[in-house]
Amino acid sequence: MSEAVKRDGGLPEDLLITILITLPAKSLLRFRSVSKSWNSLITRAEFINIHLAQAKPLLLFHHHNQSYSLRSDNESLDVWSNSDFELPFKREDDDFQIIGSCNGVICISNTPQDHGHGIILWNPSIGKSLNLELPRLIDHFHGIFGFGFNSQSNDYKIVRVDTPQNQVYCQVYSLKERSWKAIDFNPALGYFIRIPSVLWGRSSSYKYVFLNGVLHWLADREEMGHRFVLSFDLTNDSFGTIMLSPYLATKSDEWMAILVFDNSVSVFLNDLDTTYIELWGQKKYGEMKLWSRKLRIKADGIGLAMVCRKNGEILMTKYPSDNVVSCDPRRKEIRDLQNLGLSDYADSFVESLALLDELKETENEEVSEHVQFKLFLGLKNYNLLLDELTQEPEQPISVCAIDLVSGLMAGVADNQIIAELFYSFLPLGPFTW
Amino acid sequence: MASSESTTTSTTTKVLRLKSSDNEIFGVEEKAALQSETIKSLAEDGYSEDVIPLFNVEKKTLAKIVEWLNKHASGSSKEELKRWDADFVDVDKDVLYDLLLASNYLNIEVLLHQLAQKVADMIKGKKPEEIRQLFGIKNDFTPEEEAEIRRENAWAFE
Repeated sequence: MSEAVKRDGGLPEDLLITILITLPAKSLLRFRSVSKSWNSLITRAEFINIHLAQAKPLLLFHHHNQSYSLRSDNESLDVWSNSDFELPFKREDDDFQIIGSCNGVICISNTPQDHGHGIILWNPSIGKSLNLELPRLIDHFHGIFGFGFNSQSNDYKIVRVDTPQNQVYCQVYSLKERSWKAIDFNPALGYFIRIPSVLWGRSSSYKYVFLNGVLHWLADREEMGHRFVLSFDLTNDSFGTIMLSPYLATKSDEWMAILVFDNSVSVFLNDLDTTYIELWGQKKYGEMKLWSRKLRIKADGIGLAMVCRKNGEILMTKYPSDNVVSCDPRRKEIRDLQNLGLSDYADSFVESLALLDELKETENEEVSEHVQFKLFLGLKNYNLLLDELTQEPEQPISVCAIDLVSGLMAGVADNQIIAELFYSFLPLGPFTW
Repeated sequence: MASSESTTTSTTTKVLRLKSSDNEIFGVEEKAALQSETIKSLAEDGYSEDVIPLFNVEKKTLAKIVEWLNKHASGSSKEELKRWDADFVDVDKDVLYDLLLASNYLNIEVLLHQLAQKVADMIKGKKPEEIRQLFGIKNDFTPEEEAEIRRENAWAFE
């Protein structure tokens, strides 16, 4: 090493970055304690983004025994070294669901069985998680979630659409703003939207795809009996639709899944009666995009498509066993992947430092006090409380809260508990809906 | 120095003359030399007929770089190059750093990434103290700050 460099205390920053971006997340976390400049470099949003851009493609599996596994997205699906995940929460009765993953961050909810815990953003590669405040949920069972990243504002967003009693409510969570905000749902899109009921109760019921900054779900327009693709653009928080072909739009009894195939939004269709599976993608004709069939094969005992691999094959579950198979659409072949074990969810994944910059200020956040408060009050009472609060904007929040908490808890708790609850309620404000 | 005289006159391929910071001149075939973006732009700026001065590279490092440029312009098979490259970067850390700085300055992307990967493999499993020693970095954390940041990332030290 030349003397000039030695005096400088290391390599020039651009060279250092060239070296560090090839390192695993775990090494980089350790190297935060090398020096102040290394720490600030590693936790910088720009560094996190370029580290992410060169990450190797992986596949994340969720198994029946509530465990995860990570595998390389290569031919033999080798087990990735960092595959022993420690869950960010440890309640034994938790029945959590993966909402989805983006940039190596997994978004988890333990709904619909339990309204308590809320939503967790978890980056297993850095062993960190964030507990998020829940949106005001009206009806879990008709709701859909989506999770993605807006690269323009460097912000993670969660979208929640509830469709109770023929109405549509939408809320978007911004990690930058740490709050939910209500989004107007364009009536032109049609009300009575719901997700396909055949998928309820399975992890795939949350399935959406995130492509080029836009979330996509399969949805039904109930009054017309037509299925379509509902989209939400995270750059401008606006909804859109992609019409399906009449053939697909009226297939309401078959199992369908949405996935990214060939870098475009595609639809998987499984006709349980005829035992044919089909894959439909969009083909460009000038300005128009039309749906065209990419695959149709007879395949008995297939459940749903989960994710497309880098080599173009599609991972599917078997039904009802949840064994995993890999389907090669070009050769029209389906191969059993016995060694993977049972899995009801697979998604593409990368190892990343994402959230490290967000976590700097809120290190080691416990399940927040107001989430505990919500658990205690129950969701219904909690929503009542919120309603009252937002209806009386002139009243200082503290006065409203004391009154309401006292009222709600009268007869079931002593003053000490009420005082504690009130204290835990304070961090909730300000309200954005 | 005079080493390139015979080559420039006797061959049809054009040879560029590269001068190290300590004034050693290396003759390199144009095709090989132009893998360096820095040399390429200097050549385009009219240095090609003359000696191209590389002020930031010492002769012992430039000799290694020239060796790499020639090998990578020789038309060797992919497999052979892979083996050769693995041997090439298998040097002690001081040589590695000099090569890294030189390839960065000469803007030879392929070589730069090979060297960066080599350094990354070298440091991947190391402790922060070892990294400081290796790179000659001063620990500017207070003991409290360092303890705190280690606590935050305790998971990475397991």
